[in-house]
Amino acid sequence: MFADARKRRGFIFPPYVFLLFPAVLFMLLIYAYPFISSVIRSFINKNGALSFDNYIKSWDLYLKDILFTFSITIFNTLASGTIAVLLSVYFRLHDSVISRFLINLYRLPIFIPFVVVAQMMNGFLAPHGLLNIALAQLKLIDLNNPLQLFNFIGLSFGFIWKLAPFTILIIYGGFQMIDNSYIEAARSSGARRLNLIIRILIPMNKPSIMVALVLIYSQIVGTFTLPYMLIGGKIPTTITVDIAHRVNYFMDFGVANALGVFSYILVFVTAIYYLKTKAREVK
Amino acid sequence: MSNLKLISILKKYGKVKAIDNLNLEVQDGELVTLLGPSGCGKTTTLRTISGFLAPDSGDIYINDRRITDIPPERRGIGLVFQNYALWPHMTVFQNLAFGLQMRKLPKDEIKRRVKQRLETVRLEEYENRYPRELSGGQQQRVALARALVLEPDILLLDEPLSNLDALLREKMRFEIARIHKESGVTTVYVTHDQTEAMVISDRIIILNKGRIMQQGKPEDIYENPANKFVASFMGNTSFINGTVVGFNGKYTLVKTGDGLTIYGIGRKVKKGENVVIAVRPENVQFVLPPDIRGGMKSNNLFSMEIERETYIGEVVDYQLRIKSWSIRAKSAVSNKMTKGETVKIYLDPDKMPILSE
Ligand SMILES: Nc1ncnc2c1ncn2[C@@H]1O[C@H](COP(=O)(O)OP(=O)(O)OP(=O)(O)O)[C@@H](O)[C@H]1O
Ligand SMILES: [Mg+2]
Repeated sequence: MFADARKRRGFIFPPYVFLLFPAVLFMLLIYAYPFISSVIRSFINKNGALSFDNYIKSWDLYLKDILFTFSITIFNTLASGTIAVLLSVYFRLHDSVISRFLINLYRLPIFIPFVVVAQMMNGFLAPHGLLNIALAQLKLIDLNNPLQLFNFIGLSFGFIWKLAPFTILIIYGGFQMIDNSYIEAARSSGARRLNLIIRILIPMNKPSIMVALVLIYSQIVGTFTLPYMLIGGKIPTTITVDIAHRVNYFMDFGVANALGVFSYILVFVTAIYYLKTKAREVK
Repeated sequence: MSNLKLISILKKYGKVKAIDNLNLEVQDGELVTLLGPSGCGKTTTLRTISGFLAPDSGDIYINDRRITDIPPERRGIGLVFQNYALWPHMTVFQNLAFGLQMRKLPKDEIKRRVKQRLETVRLEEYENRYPRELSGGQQQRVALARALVLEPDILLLDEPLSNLDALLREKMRFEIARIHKESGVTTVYVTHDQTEAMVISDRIIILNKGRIMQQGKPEDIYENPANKFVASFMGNTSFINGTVVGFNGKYTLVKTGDGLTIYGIGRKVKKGENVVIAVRPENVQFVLPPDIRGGMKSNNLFSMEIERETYIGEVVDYQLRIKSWSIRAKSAVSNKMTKGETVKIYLDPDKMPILSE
């Protein structure tokens, strides 16, 4: 049936397809060209010859950082996703003064750019920053031995603070699309809260949950400012910081490009998944 | 064996009384329809029964057990919605099995019951389809089966047919009546479609602004409307205003402002009272010339002008005018008359309810 329709339409482009050209050209220039050239350049060594040198060097020097980036990304995607699903379900099922207040409040971080978040987190999480001072006031820690947060934990805190709201925005939007009747049908069938959430709400909202996860996943892989300002050059750090380091201190574009390719690969896997679900939705 | 009782239910939204002191009893196995215009409180009443809305005051009983404060999941009530509300990520089988799984029944038992229910709604072969792979009518039957498979004490249906096209809706009316007979479940059915209510109900309850206007068997309500609202809601009723001028045997005489005298049945009206006469199209008889013989009583015989005629298939629908009054009438296509003609009509006084204004 689908094949039929395609055959009938054939490949005769309607004249207005020209209207797409500016957009396509823009995409090619801004995205495709840098992407392709960085992939190509990652295979060219210092002497201008084709080789795997850059990859070998990246692997030797930065394997730890690649793994760190990968685990930061996975952890924060899942953590933001979980928090977002829980809060969205809460917003969807409860209508109270508190839930309405939170619904209005949660969006705030979406409008704060990463640079500002990084700056804020820098002050908040520092050894003698707001968090440690507050904890010391509460006599939970000793300021001479403050919590060290410029690492996986602090970085995750920053990512979740910034990205969970965006995730909620998408996921809660999905939950709002589910008509009350689906929930009422389940409850009158005897489903208590947990079953309602796990067997009805989440599966019905799976597409938007997946989209949200894919979007924040790729955002985390590509974020530079937050890890740069919280962790900087310490080991382990993220790929984005390493790329900046290679370029700023060594003018080594080869290795920087190779590192870039590693992050493409991290994103690529999820991008394919995203496109597949989208394609299924369209069907 | 289950009956449902609502006692003095009141539900307000701000100042609006969506349900105003509603008392209602539904007997075991009975199918009661709540019929009324949009916004009269039908859905609100159902949601109060199912427990998704708490009444401001009043009580609800199922089998003399007070359920007013019991959460929806423990009320034993089956729901069918206008939009079917089938869970899209589950097959037909899974949709029906869900509630049984919540009750932790063994797998074989679930399978047996689901199959049996799908048979009642004649969808045995569709158990592995997803809702989106079914037609609207089939989806509504699955929704009905999903509610029935749990063997609820009470079944509530909120305008279950209004998303279907006219032809299918008519078929489904009989289908629902049949399934109700077979399952014998105590049912409250909501609709704003008068014909639908007439076809399926044991009893009809006419609601307006959250209050019961009248209740009774379909034919009783249709033939003896208690007031103008009910009469206007049932059938294509035209109204003629007038004043009661006297009584003659079982008939009441009404005189209109422009001097017509009409005989009808006034049950609760007094002399001098301002009233309306409810005229239904099927009670307007065309009197063809040969019928007008000497000796035929001349009460309620009028000459009227045809203002408009509309061919609607099985009959012709007319708008007739006499003085300042306009009434609707119907005739067989074979006697089609045309606009501008003057016709003699007879209003059978036994079928002219006279109602207080
Ligand atoms: N959540 C709400 N908030 C405020 N008013 C409401 C709410 N729900 C219903 N109402 C009001 O209560 C009254 C009854 O509404 P209800 O939904 O019960 O009508 P209905 O008879 O089901 O109408 P319909 O045939 O259009 O479905 C209406 O006046 C409606 O405006
Ligand atoms: Mg309604």
